Amino acid sequence: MTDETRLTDELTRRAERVHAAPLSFESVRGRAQTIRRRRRAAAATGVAAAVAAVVLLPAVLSGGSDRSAPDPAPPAPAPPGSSVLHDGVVTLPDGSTVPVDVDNADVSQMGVLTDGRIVLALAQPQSIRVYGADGSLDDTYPAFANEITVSADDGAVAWVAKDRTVRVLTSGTAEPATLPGIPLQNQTSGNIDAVLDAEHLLVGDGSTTNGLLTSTGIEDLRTSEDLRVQDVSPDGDLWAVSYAAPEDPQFGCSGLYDPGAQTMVARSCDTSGLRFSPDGQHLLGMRGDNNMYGEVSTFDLDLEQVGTFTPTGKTAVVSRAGWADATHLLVGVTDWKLGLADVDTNPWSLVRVGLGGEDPEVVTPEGPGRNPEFVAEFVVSE
Amino acid sequence: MTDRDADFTAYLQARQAPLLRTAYLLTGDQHQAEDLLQTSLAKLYLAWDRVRERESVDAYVRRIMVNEHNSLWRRAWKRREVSTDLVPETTPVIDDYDDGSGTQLWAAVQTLPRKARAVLVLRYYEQLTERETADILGISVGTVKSQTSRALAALRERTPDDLRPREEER
Repeated sequence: MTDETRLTDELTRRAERVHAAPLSFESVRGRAQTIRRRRRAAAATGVAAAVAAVVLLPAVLSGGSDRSAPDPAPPAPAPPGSSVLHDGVVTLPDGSTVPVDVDNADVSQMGVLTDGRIVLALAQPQSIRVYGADGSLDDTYPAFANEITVSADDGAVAWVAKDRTVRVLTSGTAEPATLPGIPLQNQTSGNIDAVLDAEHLLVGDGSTTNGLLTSTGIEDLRTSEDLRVQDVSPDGDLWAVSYAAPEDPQFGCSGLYDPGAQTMVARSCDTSGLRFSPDGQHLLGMRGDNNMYGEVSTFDLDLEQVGTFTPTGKTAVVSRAGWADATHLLVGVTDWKLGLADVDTNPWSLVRVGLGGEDPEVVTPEGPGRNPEFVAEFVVSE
Repeated sequence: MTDRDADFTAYLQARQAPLLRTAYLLTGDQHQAEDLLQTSLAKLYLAWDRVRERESVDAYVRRIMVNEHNSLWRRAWKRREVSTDLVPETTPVIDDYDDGSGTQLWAAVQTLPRKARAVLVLRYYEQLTERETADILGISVGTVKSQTSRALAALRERTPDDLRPREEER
């Protein structure tokens, strides 16, 4: 008898002894509802997803199994939409405004934490600026690049510091935590592709996401194929990704990746830059060059197109877009040909459109602005 | 009940018993196996609409089970569970079909790290190919081969001499 045969026999013998009362559909659905409810609650309250996962564990510790159907799930709190920075004012999803002393020309990205603080990535000089909920300047941190990455629940924002360590600012804490850097050759730094929570970041080399960064260092991240994570669904179950593909050598293709099953569950080579809606049921995507996009499209979880919004006018373009709520987009629109660089003659406006691209509603009427290749007059929060 | 739920229920009834056996081999504990299976099936239920190819659902659930079992959260929570080179001292359960060697071998299996145990369970219990095992674990075929080899070597080292395969049996 070989080692392998002996092992097969013993495993089979052990397995055949296992008997248990069958799981009912109701008990499985109940557990599913519990998982979904805890994830939503964690996302809504800014509690790290890790905490939500850990609270599931005492049942295992005690050896018990959650066979009883849980209480009916309470209504999920309304997930937050995007905020918009324009002309020195941040307009929050509830319509309230916060003045901030900054010029959009210096701002590349914005995040708004659940505690109300506003975090801006600035290009000149490359730094991260944190404003209080009232708009007062809290602090400025030198950065390696003018990039921030925000967690799906807006509970944490991360960036690469000038010394190439990674900093993570968490809602409710005054100072950012320091994590090890993401080393690459030639004294450069890797990228932060996603913030799962304050202690777990997906990182990569700019083209592929290949590591999980924690306080102890980088652990290899294995995926079924090379991909770069663009966004994480609110419940953490899906990653919106991009990957190189011969179908589109210029932009590559997009996909939805299930990290639990390590499987790509949907693919599309027709869009880029996918971002989940606040309820995780849809995504928006834009494809273009030089900070300008011809249209913004929405997709379902099969990456089938749901709708498209194309601004009116032959040379009108989309500058930035984000989710106003689960069923509406906020889109910064301008006309790139009606102005010249460094001259404030481009017409800019902010519109709110439905999921299907229908019924555009003007939020901020047309006004003069700068060349969209260099400036986003409406910066929509990450 | 919706068609979706009926579809899922049919799968649940047909497949939960064999999946529980796999969960048991992964965890080595019946209560943990039941919990792991319920959590994995719950996650499958949440993803049911995305699992288009029904013939690959088993592989999908196995992936969830293995990943869930190896997951960061559970590992962090179970830090007190440490893999060891020593076979734990337990009261052997010997039945009519076991001269004691099976119990020793099973105890040795449980000393292996989780990922190594998963490779052995998928290869030698589920009888999956190296390619199928690699797909589920998200590793290369070469890594499956090397992990299998190392795990079998560890089992040989941790199993008493008289349980090792004898020359005439090879």
